[in-house]
This record gives sequence, C-alpha cells and structure tokens, in this order.
Amino acid sequence: MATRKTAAATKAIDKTEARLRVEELLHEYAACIDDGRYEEWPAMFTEECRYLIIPKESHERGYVSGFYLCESRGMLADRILCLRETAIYESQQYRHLIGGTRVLECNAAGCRAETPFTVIRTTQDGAMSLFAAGKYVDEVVFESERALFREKLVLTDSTRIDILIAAPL
Amino acid sequence: MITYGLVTASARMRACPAFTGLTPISMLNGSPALTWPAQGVTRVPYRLYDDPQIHEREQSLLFRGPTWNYLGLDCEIPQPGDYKLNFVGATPVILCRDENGEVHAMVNRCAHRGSLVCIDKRGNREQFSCVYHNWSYNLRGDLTSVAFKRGVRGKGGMPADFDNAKHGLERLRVTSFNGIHFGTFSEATPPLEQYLGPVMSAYLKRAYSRPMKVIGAHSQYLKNNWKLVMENVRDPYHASILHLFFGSFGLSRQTMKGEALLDDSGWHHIVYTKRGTDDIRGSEYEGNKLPNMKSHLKLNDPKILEEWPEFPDGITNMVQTVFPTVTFQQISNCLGVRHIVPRGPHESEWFWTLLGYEDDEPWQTRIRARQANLIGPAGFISLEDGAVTNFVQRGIQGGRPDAMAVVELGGSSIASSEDRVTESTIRGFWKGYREVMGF
Ligand code: FES
Ligand SMILES: [Fe+2]
Repeated sequence: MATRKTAAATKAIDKTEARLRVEELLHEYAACIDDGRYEEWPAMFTEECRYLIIPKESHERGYVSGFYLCESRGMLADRILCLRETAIYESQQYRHLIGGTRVLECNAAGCRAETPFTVIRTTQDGAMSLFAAGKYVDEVVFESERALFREKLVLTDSTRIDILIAAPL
Repeated sequence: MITYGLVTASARMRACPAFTGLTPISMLNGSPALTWPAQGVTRVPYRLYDDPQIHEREQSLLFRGPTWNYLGLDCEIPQPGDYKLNFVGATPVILCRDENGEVHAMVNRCAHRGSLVCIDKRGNREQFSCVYHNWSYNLRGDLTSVAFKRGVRGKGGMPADFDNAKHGLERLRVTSFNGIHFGTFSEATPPLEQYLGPVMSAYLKRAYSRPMKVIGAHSQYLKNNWKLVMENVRDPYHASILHLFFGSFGLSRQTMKGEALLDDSGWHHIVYTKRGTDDIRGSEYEGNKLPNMKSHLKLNDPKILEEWPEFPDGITNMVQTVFPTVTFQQISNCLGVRHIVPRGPHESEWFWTLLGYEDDEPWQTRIRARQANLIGPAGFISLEDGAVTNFVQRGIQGGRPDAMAVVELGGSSIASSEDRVTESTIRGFWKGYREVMGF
C-alpha cells in the first residue's frame, strides 16, 4: 500500500511540475505579445515547429487553412518582420487573459496541455473589445532550462475576426 | 431624420457654382434623390457608402434585381440533403441539394410568421421544419405540412381552403456554373453565361473545371459599407502600394505582364499578373526609388513563397469579380472565394472559402495552406484591406453632402487594358451599380 501511494504521489508531482512549466511558458508568451516584445516571440518555439491560428470549427472539419500558419521558427520570425515592416494597420494593444492549464499527457521530455484564453483588444481611440476567445492546444518540450512550444494550435471559438489580426494571439 | 430633397439640392446648386454641372437624377419610388455627379463614374458620392435609405434601396433594386448572387459551391453541398446558409444582400437564404441531386435556393424565412426555418449554418436535412409552429418544407421549399392544420378534435385549424401549394418558401432561380451556384430573385436576369460574357466565363472555367474541396472557411467582420470592399478588390492601383509585402518581395509590380479586363457591360472584372515577366530597368521601380518598396527585406524562411506552376497560362496572381458581391482569387496556388455580405449601411461581413482540388497530393495541400498566410484577415497582402476600407468609412463622415471620391486613374474609360495603372475596373462596378439602381 505504502509503495503504491508513493508511486502515485510521484506521478502527481510530475504532472504538477509539468503544469507549472507550461504555465510559466504561457504567461511569458502572453506577456511577450502584450508588451510588444514581438522579437522574443519566435524563441519560445523549437526550430522545427507548428503554429496555427484557426477557428475551432474549421479545425474540427479537418481544414488546414486558418489565419496564421508557421512551420518553423523562421516563419514565426517572418510574421514579426512583416508586422514591423510591411503591415499597415491601426495601432492596437492586446491583453491576454490565460485560464487554467490542463496537462493531458506528460513525461520527462515534454507534455501536451490545453489552456483557455481570451484576448481583449484596445484600439488607439480607446475602444476595447473582446477580440478573441478560445483554447491553446500545446505540445511543449522540456529542453534543459526552458520549456518550448513544438506545436501550438490556437483554436478560436469564433469563425469571425473583427476586421483583422495583426499580432499573434 | 435624413432628408435629401430635390429642393435642397437645387437650392445648393444655385448657391454654389461647383454644383452647376450636376444633374439631379431620380426620385424613384419616393426614395431620396441621389444626384450623380456630371463627371459620371469618375466620381462617386460618399453618400453611397453611408446612407441607410440607399442601403434599403439596394435590397430591392440590386439584390432582388437583375443580378446573379453567389450562393456557394458544389463541394460544400456534395450529398442529397446537404445544405448551406448564405445571404443575398440582407436576405437569409438556404442553398441545398434535393434527393435527386438538384440544387435549390430559397429564402430562409418561414411562410407562416417569418421565423428562420434553419439555424445551423451547414448540415444535412431530409426537410426543413420551422421550430416555432412546426410548418415543414421539403428540400425544394414546398410546404409539406402544417401543424394542427385541421385543428384538434375538429376545432380550430386552418381554413378549409388553405392551400399548402401557395405557401412555400420564397424561391430563387438558381444557376450552376462549373460547380459554382448563383441565385437571382428576378425573372429579368439573363442566363449566367450571357451575364458574364465570354471572357469572364472563360476565366472562371479556368480554375473551376475540376472537383474542388474546401480547405478553410472563416469570415472577417468589416466596419465599412460592402461597396468599399468591392472597390478594393477591383483596384489594381493599391496592390503594390498599400501592400508593402507585394512590392518588397517582388510578388507583384506594375511592370509585370498582366491585364485589367472588363466584360462588355463593365460589371465584372479580372486583374491578373504574371510574375517573372518584367524588367524594371528604366521604370519607376529601378533603384528602390519607390517609398513603398523595402527590397532590402529578406524572409528568414521563404517557404511561404514556395509554389508550383499550376496553370499553363503562367498567371501567378488573379482576382476576378462577378457583380455584385463575389470575388474569385488565385494568389500563386492559393485558391478561394470571397463573398461580401452587407450588414447594414456601415458594416459588412466578408466570407472567405479557401479551396484546393479533390485530387490534390498532400504536398499541394500543404503549399496551399502555407500560401494562405498571404490572404485573409491576417494575410501579408490583405490585412491592410480591412484597415483601409474602414479608414475610408471614417474619413467620409460629416463631409459636405456633395463630397465624392475621384476615380480618374486611366481617364474615364471603362475598358480593358494591359496596364494596371487604372481605375477602369472600379468605374465598371459603378456603371453596373448605376444601371441597376437607377441613379
Ligand atoms: S413561424 Fe414558422 S411555423 Fe410559425
Ligand atoms: Fe488589397
């Protein structure tokens, strides 16, 4: 009995630890976007990675095209390059509210987790709106000190985007 | 209250010399007079983007008038019973396929007291039953049953002479062109191929000649009148200026071979370019003189520009519109339909359907998906469009009642040209609009 209890306890700690690492990564991710430190954003992913923003409905239908699709850290960096250099839009501020993370699977190398999010967007005239809500479905790898996203699906609850998406969600 | 009276207009004409060239046009059906400027379609009154009465009039004269309105694609309703909801102007419609495989469209409005008969935007049904009082319709829109039609225990119910056949859903005439379905409310609308003309028909067949599949679907809610969107997609002037990505990475330049095409009526248009066909020496593009080109920029991972030559004609970028509200696009291998739906005079919703072919190899789907980064609400070459049409909507507020846009690039012609330094394609839209609206 005692042995089994210990094993269970160890496993529970692993999952909690995994959750803490994912939460830390997510909070840094959100702060990085909300603070406009976009250049730091690609480094939160592995070199080979997948980042897709897509309506939940499209994803469930098996569609592959959404709003953003990056398949490498370079493509993430290009999103930022274009955001800074070529995109023309009215300046706006995001505020991410990250909900509770659920770790679905984990081992020493990484984990899969789901986390609800909302993004409030404030435009320069002061108008605020609930811009996006949905969930992150993340595949995170624990490489040395840092946790990194290997895959990040941003599944939006709505199929509709208010005017445009500039910065990542 | 909004008042636009002829009296006011003529008073202004006397007071202001700038007005002397204007001809007040119609006061049809008691609706407000709109005075189209004497310069014709090289001028567009800003009121057209803003006036609730004009919006109302569009519903009756344009969307219920002699126009073919985009409804959907074969691949969205492949099976008997499949349906998809859409809108013709403000009117909610159902596009569906009946038991025999035939495609129908009807207004999504119960013949009893007006409830939507179908709520879920896509699905498969054997019939449409209204939830309110359970009137039911078959897949052709015929009324098949009325709850308690004969009353309960002989009491109540509909009059004995109530004829189901007279109370079906309002139907649209549907025509299908290479798997693309259009609908019209008017008996006067000519057959689609005649409506499109030979050139437009041929280009539409070009991409839509094989079975397709949907690879993405979403919408963009725009804070501007729908016509600003149609002007924007028909505007080759802005492409390499507003969209810095285009110019900076050499995707589209005015020096490339291409054409701005209009059909004989001017209602429909195509603008295409062929990448890799230009020599910028001696042009405005030489030596990075243009402020809108940042050719020093380099992509970290140019995978997004990977493509394969899909069409033998070498066209790499094509936008085609069918008047009034639909756009068919090919950006490299990124194929899709954009359909603008008015949501009142000041807002609109832009529906994007991204496509591939049914027999695409996985690598082809992957390239199409990557290229989709270029388009849509987050697109490298289209994110700006939603921003700028909104800037126009805001910019025209509170202007003089006679304020108007200048659409004079390339003169006043409404004709095809090899150069794309023209707004003839936009003038064509306004020609169609005036004809249908009686302005
Ligand atoms: S409104 Fe549809 S059955 Fe009454
Ligand atoms: Fe554009």
